[in-house]
Amino acid sequence: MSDHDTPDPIDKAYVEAEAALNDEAARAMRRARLLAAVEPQLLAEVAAMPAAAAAASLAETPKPAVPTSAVSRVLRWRPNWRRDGWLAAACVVALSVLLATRFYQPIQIAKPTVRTTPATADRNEPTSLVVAATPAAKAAPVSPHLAAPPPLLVQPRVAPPPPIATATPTLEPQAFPEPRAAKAAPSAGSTVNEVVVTGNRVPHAAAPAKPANEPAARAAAPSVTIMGGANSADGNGKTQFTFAPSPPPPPPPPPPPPPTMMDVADLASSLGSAAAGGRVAEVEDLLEQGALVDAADAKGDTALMKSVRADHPSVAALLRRHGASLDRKNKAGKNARDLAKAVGDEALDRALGIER
Amino acid sequence: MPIMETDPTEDADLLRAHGAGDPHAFGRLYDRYDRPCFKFLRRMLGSAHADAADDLHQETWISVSRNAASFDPLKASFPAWLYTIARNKVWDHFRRQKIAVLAAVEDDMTMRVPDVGPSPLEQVQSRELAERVVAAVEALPLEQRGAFIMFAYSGLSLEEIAFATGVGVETAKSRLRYARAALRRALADERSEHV
Repeated sequence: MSDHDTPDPIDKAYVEAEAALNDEAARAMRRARLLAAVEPQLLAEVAAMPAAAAAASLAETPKPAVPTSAVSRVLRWRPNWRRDGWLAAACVVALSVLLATRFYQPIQIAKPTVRTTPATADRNEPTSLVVAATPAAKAAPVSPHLAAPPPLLVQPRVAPPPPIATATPTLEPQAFPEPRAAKAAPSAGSTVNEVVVTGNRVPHAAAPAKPANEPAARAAAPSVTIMGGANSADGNGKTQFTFAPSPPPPPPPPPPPPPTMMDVADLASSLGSAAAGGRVAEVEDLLEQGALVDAADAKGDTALMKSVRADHPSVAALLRRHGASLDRKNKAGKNARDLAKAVGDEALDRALGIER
Repeated sequence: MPIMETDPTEDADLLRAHGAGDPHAFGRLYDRYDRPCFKFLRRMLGSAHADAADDLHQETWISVSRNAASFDPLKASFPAWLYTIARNKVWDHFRRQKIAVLAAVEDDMTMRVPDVGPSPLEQVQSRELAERVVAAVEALPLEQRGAFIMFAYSGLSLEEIAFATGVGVETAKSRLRYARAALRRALADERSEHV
């Protein structure tokens, strides 16, 4: 008699419980995964297993015991992703970021720089510089939202200046293709197609004929020409500027050498004497030579104190304008304020800014 | 009503054919035992380690495939051999996870639980009740749980359970009894809660 001839009710309950919790989809996944690992020759059969698993999953009415998301199914399907696979993926991502940051070169928009030619021997001789957008920058696709002015290239123009009355068609935009930004964002007055800087006035020819199918906004795109002279705008929307190159300013005089200690002492002594004597011009001259305005003598008296004591309001006012201190005290403990009070001259008080 | 009703000799033939390079033999053998084997692993691991069931299941069958040549049908049946491998995988997993497997206290107290007779769980129809039954099984001590699952669900005989677990037949039989008694008590409490 077999052990299973009289099944226990608890055994039966358990078998039925497990049957209720069966997950055929997960089972199919496990089967495919195992057979792929055990028998590589069955890979073709394994490849069809996800579809079978999906069909089994659809046929399975109850929910699976453990909810399996798409990610978890993928993880089960790719067992290597569970462990070291993520590390490998992280390495690949890190390497990609490294390469991107190492070799990626963002589009650099050169700032428009205008270089002027060196002064010619004859300043009256006209100089002409053509500042135009570089062809490479014009060929680069630019987003309409990033319609930055194209980099400008200064090309010295060696041709003699054309006569004022004649047209100069060579300076027109057909010399270079127009930037795509002008096509994409035809904002009148905002795009500079060509900038010409000349020393003399250069007349302009009429704009070349535009194709009929070209956008009208593109045809209306202004061609700004900067030319020397008065600011003017012609009917073609071209703005002209003229300027006369000014001679270089004379070199500034070399700064005076810094005074030595001996000079400082002499200046201070002279300043005190001049202040006591009421010699305004001499005081001013000494201050310009670098005399310290608050320099004190052996008694601690400054030039301001001496001027106050001698009642020279003009000198006192001059020293005050140069920052002389009213509160600095001498060795007797008196400051200019106290000395002015002792003198009692209203003019002196006004010169010092003291209110009684 | 065990789920496995297979011919042992045919199992051995399939395993031999797999060893000889038959590409379909292993799939047939797998289809016979994969469900009870997975259930065994899943219940032995319990809810806390349910995520490892897939991996252990695959490792078990890969071991079967690699060691097909070492299978001796004269020493044990294929299910007994299979569950030996599966059980070792579970123990290895717990060892890796540093989980101490405590020996169950198998005293006679558990046997004194009266048999309450056929419980409503015989009529398991709802998934909720099924989960409660399974939870009760997973709450059993590990050795009792393994013996019960191998006997009740996988249909192994006591001799095969004894072979797979490395104990004597009487020990396997005792574990089975203890497991049933514990389940009856747990499910009786379950029933009393719902009555």
